[in-house]
Amino acid sequence: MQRYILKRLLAALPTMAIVGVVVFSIIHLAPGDPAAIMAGEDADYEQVEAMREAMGLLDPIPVQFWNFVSGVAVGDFGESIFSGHKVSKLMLDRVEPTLSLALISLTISILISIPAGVLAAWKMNSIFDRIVMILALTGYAVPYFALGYVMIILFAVKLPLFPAGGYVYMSEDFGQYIYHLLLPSFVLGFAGSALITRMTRATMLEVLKEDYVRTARAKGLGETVVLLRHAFKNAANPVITVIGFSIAGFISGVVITETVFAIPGMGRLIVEAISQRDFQIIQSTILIVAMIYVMVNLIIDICYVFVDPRIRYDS
Amino acid sequence: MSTKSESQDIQFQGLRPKIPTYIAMANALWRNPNMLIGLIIILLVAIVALLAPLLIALDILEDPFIYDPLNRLLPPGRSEEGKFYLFGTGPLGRDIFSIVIYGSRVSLFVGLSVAIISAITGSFIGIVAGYFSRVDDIIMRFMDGIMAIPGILLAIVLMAILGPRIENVIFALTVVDSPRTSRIVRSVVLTIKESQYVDAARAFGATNSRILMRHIAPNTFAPVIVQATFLFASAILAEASLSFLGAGVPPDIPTWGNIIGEGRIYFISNSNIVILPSIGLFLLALAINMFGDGLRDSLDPKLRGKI
Repeated sequence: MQRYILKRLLAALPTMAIVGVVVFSIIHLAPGDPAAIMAGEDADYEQVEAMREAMGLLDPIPVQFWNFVSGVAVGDFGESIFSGHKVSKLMLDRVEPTLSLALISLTISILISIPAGVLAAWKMNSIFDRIVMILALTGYAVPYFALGYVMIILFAVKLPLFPAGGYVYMSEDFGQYIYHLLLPSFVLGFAGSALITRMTRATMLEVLKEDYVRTARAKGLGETVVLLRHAFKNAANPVITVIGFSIAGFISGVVITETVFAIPGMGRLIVEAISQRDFQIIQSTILIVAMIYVMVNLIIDICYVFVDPRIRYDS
Repeated sequence: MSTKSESQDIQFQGLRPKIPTYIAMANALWRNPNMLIGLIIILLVAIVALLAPLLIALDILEDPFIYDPLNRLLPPGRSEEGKFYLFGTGPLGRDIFSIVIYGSRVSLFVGLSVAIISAITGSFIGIVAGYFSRVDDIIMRFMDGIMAIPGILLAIVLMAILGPRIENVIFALTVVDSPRTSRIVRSVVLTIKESQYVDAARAFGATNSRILMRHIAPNTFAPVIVQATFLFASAILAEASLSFLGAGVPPDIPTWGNIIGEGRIYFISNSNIVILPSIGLFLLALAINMFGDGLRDSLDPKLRGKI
């Protein structure tokens, strides 16, 4: 088992390295001159050159890459070109809202989709199954921002149950923190649950046809035990895989949901940085977000070990 | 899975007449009402999109490019001047109904282009990686790296660097979508590569390029087509999201995402600006997904209910 975890950990390293290279190349090899953009539209030649010098763009590319990587390794992401603040500080302030939103919405979507998927498979072709499948199809096609605005209009304006937006830090007031996150998390969680619901239903349908499920029923076990202990446990693997896939979707959704609900998270930071052409912030934030994504997938890989004993012994 | 059905096809080729694809598709449409409804909606939107310039030229529709500050933020209905605005007007006085009609052009164009280009590049990368094991690791690690960056973020960054143009939106979304397609194609290629008929072809002295073109590429067609339909829908949503965030199509071009982004700050007082174009977006994406589901069920029954 330790070997398996170590192997997974080592496999994540090249991916991270490539993310670093990709992010770095996007900024440096793309057409357009970041120094000129940074210096502003009416800067003259000298100002652009000075900006280039200040940004370290005159160093050879490998040196620049080394500076970037070695900075990141010790948590130094440089300074924001626009405001001069430390990028690491800017990101640290924004991590909590983004992570909270992503985690709560992921939890909501798992709480919606797994029971829905299991029950839909159990009662295949029933009205319940039809409704679940229609909702799942809807979840695929609904744009996050549209759902967000509809929810705000319904549950914050017409029926003032929830705040229409904003964010309260966990340390300030925990109740308000959860209260402010419920509506945006539901929006994201509903849209995210589509894929997980469909996967749960599909794998459950296959597993429910297996002999051991028939045997379990034949020996008189209750349906709950059959469904959860015998069927779902065996259907869990692909479901976990899909949850891993959908993390990327959640992070993409967070960027938009933060805009709709005026939540000061990493997504807002990037969108603001882009409108200010603050490439220092852009490259660091993308790198951090990608790192979070790789880490979460690593955790999911490790979860397999607990769900599927075969992995524990095989490796 | 495709390996098995393919080898069965070969065994039975002499015994059972093969049903042409288009008849199989027509059958699938007939048996699957969801797929038919999806197709009808897509075709309707396509017809409207094609006719939009004509409707504007004939003065049936307002010109969605014209700003009319005097008539900004009107609710749906007739204005004081007696002009009829079915969906009301936006913050710059543009007629929202015309934008919804005209915006479908951009959505369909971007969605189709991204789907087709990603399907082609993704297939190419996937076939090369799957068939030539020497480059497999390098290519797929690189694809993993791109996939680790959440799609919308990667697209935003690319747009920030390339600048707001429709071509750039298509390019950015293709970069985002190709790796996923390549992974699907690669997994298909890996199973087909080991099949007996490929061994047989090789034993007969077929070259790599012949095996790739005659035996492997055709088998990736079904999953790629299915994937392309889903990409079509997701690219339409992604384009709207980019425009909504102000990192997509230039703001003067009337698109669904642009008008929703424009109306964002007015969504409580003038919710029509955000909601009505969103419904168009939702219906089109839903229709494409319904069509895609049906297509997948008929082309690849083993995947029913998944993806």
